[in-house]
Amino acid sequence: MVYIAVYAEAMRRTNIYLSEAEQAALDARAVVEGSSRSDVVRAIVDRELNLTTDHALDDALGDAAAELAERARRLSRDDPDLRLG
Amino acid sequence: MVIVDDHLAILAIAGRLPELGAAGPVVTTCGFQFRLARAVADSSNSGSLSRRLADPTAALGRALRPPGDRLSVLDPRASMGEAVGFAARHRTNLLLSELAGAALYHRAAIRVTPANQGRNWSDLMNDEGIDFATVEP
Repeated sequence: MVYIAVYAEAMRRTNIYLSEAEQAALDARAVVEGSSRSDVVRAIVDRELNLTTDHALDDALGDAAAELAERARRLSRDDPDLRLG
Repeated sequence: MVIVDDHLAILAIAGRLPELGAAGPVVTTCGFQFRLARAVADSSNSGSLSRRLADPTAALGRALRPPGDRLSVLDPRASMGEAVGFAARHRTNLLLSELAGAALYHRAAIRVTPANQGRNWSDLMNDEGIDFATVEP
């Protein structure tokens, strides 16, 4: 049995100017990957801006935030460049 | 633009940022990012942090490369002149000089948690006309 997940993320149309070389490179990548120019641009943007989603990691970091901040203070206490002063 | 400390930065990365009372993209400095990333990297030396951060490599990666829609890290080279000027005027260390220099260069607000406010930070920021306030995490 095959399960298909559908992610309906809101998208907005945007227009940007690209050089011929940039468009050619995007189209070549799209052919290689069997995708579209838009898919390639989205993948590059997500990768460059670290837009991957990890809810479990978000929860772990959020729960540990106060303790991490306290550890950062302790580790920097004797560091003349990075202590709070 | 709002510059935040390491505590608010990790909350921003986790998507749990409290209301900052200032508009614009949320950013932090290299100094605060270093303090945060060092704490995450050092988490294996803490039993409770080790339990909380089940995947320390992923956690460190998140601190080193924050999601761009939640937090950016400022390039200190852009505001080096302002940072050096602030340090010369107030004899401050690298962390505070970078923070204030970035606020002056980018005309940004600064928000820190109460536990991360240095002794005379508020007075120094007021002297320089910087929008500075503490925020409960």
